[in-house]
Amino acid sequence: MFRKLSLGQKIGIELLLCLFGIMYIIPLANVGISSFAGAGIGNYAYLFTSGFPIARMIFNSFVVSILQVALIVAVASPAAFAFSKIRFPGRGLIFMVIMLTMSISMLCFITPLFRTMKALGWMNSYQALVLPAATYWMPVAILILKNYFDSLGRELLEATTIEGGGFFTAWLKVYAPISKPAIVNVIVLGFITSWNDYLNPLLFSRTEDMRTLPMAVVSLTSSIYGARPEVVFACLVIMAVPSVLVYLFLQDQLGEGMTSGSVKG
Amino acid sequence: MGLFVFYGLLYVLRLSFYKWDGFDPATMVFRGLRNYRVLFSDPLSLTALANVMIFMFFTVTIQMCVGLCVALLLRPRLLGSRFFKALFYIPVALSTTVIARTFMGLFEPNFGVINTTLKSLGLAGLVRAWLGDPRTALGCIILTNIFQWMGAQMVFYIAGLTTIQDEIYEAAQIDGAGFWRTLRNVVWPSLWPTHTTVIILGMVGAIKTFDIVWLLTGGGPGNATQFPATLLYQAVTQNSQAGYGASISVVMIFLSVALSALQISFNKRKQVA
Repeated sequence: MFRKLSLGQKIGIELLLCLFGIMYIIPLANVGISSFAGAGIGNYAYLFTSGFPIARMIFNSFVVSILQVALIVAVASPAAFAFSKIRFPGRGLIFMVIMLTMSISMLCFITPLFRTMKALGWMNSYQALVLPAATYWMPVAILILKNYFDSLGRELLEATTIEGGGFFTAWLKVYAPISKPAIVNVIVLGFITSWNDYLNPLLFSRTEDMRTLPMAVVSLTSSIYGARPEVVFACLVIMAVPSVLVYLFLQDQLGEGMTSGSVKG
Repeated sequence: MGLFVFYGLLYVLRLSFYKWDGFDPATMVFRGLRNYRVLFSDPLSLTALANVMIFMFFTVTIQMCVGLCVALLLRPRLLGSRFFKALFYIPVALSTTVIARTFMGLFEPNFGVINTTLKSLGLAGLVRAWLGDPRTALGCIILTNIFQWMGAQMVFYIAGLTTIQDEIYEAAQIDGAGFWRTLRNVVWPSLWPTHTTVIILGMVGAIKTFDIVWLLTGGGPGNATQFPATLLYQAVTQNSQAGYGASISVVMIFLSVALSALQISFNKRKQVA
């Protein structure tokens, strides 16, 4: 395996890969095929016409994911720039504390989060669906962007300072535009994470019209609309398509971010 | 943001010494360390602790082995390896809800793929309600979790393997080392930075585990698959035990932070070396 392979070895490797591949294809294909069982495409049509608020939930999922990603990029980029290029007291310590929060489950803060959301009157609102999850994913984004800014060096900053610009100008005009590859990483991983998130809507959405898609599957199964399993499978396919497409189209642009983004194991 | 998390941390820490239903702050009663005493003596929380340890051990070791094997198989870049790499990573990009529903379909007692296959193979004796049987439910959760996250480990190992220079393999070959000796004496030790990342991320992830358990079994059957996170969720949202829940949080936070601090120190050492 570490040198030139003989034909027999190549065939052996291909066979093993196919074996693994089949174990992965069966469960995934099972969902796809089952979603067309019985009525075929009618299962999908039924989802949209039966009175189950699926269109609203798809809309919610898009709104929440896009707002989360926009907020994450807007906050994480200047924060990462500051951690990378500005020397201020306690920088190392604050950065480490932020990185440590990455490992803590959001569920650990369930009571203070509930109290805060109730005090603000944000329960069951878009604010509650966007802000907590965005905050808990922020450290990953800061880490990816800081690593990229670190690799850019200080020369550009010094050039800006000579021309009379401050840190803010240097970030806005110079560093932010050239950090596009890292921002693409953050957008793709942030979108996938937020699109798939189950915990945040479980905690803060209370009514059917504020649910996002991961919750939709659960409420569908417990409602009369989801009595037929084919319909539930159709809902799963609808949910899986955007995140898989985003991943497949942009996988080549995801460098190391793909690994640093998978903080869950 | 740091302040926000700190506020939460102090709040949870203080709350863990109280008995409270989570609604009216006037009803909070100080009870010292009683929450912790219950936490470390109640059979239910001890089951949760044992479950998370079993889960951690099996997911981390199996994911390491499978992830490394797949990364090695993909290394020669044979026909279709791009396809396989994407295929193995797709579950990582899918929601846990999708994965959980998919596997519930496979494990389903009457029409599920596993039981119908067993019946057609004449192994009807092995047929069971996989998620409804306390002896197999935890195993099913572990299997599902490995299926979902193996792709991430694979990517870590693919990245780790590219850091090993070709000259090292050539040197091993000149010394007459075969495949297994090269793997054991060259590849495995050179991958230690990747191993520590995979192990610690796996352990931190195991402590956080909530949605896969909640969606597959809800902690059942009969509390057989309770995890700390599911106990915490039930304590706060269903049993109005905000104080007891907070004490579970404190233990979870302590474990997560300790493990992450360990990883940071490993990374520092790597940079120095």
